[in-house]
Amino acid sequence: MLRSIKERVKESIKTYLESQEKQAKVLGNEIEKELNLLDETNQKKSIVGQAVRFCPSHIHLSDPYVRENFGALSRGYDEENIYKEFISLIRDYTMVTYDGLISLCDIVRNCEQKGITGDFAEAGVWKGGATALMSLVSSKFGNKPRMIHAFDSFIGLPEPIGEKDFDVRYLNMEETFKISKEESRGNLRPINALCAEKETFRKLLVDKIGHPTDKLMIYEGWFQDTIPKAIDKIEELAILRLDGDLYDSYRISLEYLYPKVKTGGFVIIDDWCIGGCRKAIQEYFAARGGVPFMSTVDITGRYFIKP
Amino acid sequence: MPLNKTPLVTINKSPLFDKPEGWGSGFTLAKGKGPGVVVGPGSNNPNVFAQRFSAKPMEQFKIVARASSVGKPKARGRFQINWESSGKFLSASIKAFEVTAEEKIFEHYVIAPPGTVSGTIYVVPDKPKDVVRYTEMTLLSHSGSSAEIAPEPPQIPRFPSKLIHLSDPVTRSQYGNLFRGYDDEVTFKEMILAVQGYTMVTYDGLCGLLSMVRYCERAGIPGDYVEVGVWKGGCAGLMAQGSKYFGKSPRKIHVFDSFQGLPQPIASKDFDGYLEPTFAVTEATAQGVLQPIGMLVASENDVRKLLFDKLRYPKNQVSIHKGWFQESIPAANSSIESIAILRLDGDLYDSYRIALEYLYPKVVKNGFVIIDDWVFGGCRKAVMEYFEKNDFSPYLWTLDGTTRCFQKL
Repeated sequence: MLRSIKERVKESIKTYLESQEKQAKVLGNEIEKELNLLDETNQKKSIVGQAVRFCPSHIHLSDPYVRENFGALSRGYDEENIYKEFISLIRDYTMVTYDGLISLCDIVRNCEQKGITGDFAEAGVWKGGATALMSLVSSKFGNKPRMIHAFDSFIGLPEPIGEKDFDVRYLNMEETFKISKEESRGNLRPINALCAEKETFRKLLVDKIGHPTDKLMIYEGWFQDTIPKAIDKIEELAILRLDGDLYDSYRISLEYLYPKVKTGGFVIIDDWCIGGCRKAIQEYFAARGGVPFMSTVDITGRYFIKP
Repeated sequence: MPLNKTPLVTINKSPLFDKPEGWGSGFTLAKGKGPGVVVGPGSNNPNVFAQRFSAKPMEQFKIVARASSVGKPKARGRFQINWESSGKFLSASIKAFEVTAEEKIFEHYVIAPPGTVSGTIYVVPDKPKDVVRYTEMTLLSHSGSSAEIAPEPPQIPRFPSKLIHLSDPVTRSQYGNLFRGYDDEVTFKEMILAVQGYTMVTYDGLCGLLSMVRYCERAGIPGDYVEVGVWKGGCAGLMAQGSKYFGKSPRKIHVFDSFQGLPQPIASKDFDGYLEPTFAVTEATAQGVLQPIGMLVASENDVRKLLFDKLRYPKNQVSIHKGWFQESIPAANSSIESIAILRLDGDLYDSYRIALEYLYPKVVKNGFVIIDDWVFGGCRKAVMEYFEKNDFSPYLWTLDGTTRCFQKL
């Protein structure tokens, strides 16, 4: 069941990508004409000459081709080889793209090397791949383990909210999560999408990568219940990673956790390809001077530094 | 899992394959002599054939074509299936192949995307100039569940991972499929195409730059756009297009370049083992003397041609500061009040040092600084020294193998 949902999520993202690529293709025909002209005049030779190639927008470690050519994969980051070792350790525990993971590594290293203090928090951890990656990079470049706050229902997503989460311009919710707009009333009941067991998460963090248990807080439950209660336990955050997929998950996380992020800390958004996520962010920042400039990581990943 | 060998659609046996009603107006012209059908030439492809078949989402198909070139020793044929959902176009699977005078068999695997109800398979030449004879076009369907089958060979268009350049022929030929996930990327691609040949910056570097321009225009970040080291002006041209498209009125753009290429590097600062072979310099020709070393030379005319003739940017909104940075930047200092985007692309230690010293203080709050030469030791040194001297150290966003940038918060 879990596997099939994972597949469906991937497929739906693929459909979205393809619709974008379709638009690009219309333009592509025009472009080809120009490029052929260029070819004919032989103005430029290749200065790239790289034999191994990857899909540009979603380099996933679940793709056998990417796994096979992992050694040749490089997105140009400093310390990328170290990051890659860590990524290969957690590759089965995350659905985030290579671009998303590598940029997360870079942000963690920056926090450690620049001495940006504060805890790490992730709202929506699934199996814990991204959480574990933060811990690994932190232990490599930092002096002492950071406190990590992990939020998840561990029974998957709750019902979306029809009028907030369903937006035809972005990810097809109905297809991805097999729930119609009419059925989506925001009730806190599991819809059997993106479930991971708490034990899987705990085992990865504690047993596999050895994150100290006293530096790990796992908040099991719906964000609506867990996040408001957790804020007393969080003093300040260096990194807030948001991966809750839905409008209300983002709304709650931003409302309670964003004020905990210190100036110069990072906010990472994993669901920019979902209409509800965009809406929650735009609404939250509309009253706070507009959405900050967000760096593009991949089709769905964005991050910014809290000013 | 093997494919079911029972053909689902065999186009060459279709009642329409060799009959005029299956074809556009080019049929008679294209039929030619001999077996099968000849498609092409023709710019509007009137002489193509298409046939619709029903398909399920994720259903896997194999296409087999038997084809040869006509008239010329080589031509390109194409597999094309357009996927539809109740009459609405979803996406297309396209794969071209090279044919020779000798008839050969070509095979291709495709998977119907989610939502597919039907597909249309085409019998076409790849480009208008190609003339191809098809004696077979067969579509084979897999009978069982296709959920577990991986496409073979991979269907996803692929690009270099580190530096996606439009100078790469494969990247150019697949440009329509290139998509990295930026908002407004289709618009960005159009703008990038207009400056192709005028820049050596990667696709990511260019899309990143446009993201910043869009933010400055929409969020109303005041200040000019400044580029130090413009070469032929591609990036300046991109900022110009971005300003016109996303903004209310064209911004002031300042470009700095010697238009005689790089001056001598400074061996003690710039030499990093990589720069020396790149610019063919030795200790003797790297003493920081302001003399051209014949590297990265572009003419002012290239920039003018691009900005004014091709992109029609208003002339009074562009200041071209010609000369060595050591002279032109201090001289221009009073004419620049504030900067929204400072794009540094001077390659050398001293170029970065001067540019940062004079221009960085003019960057406004929430403005951007782009560092294009992170691969060079001299650039890193100058940037790190400047950060240290001024006691700040922003997070550098990695755009590609050589570009870093940050927002002045």
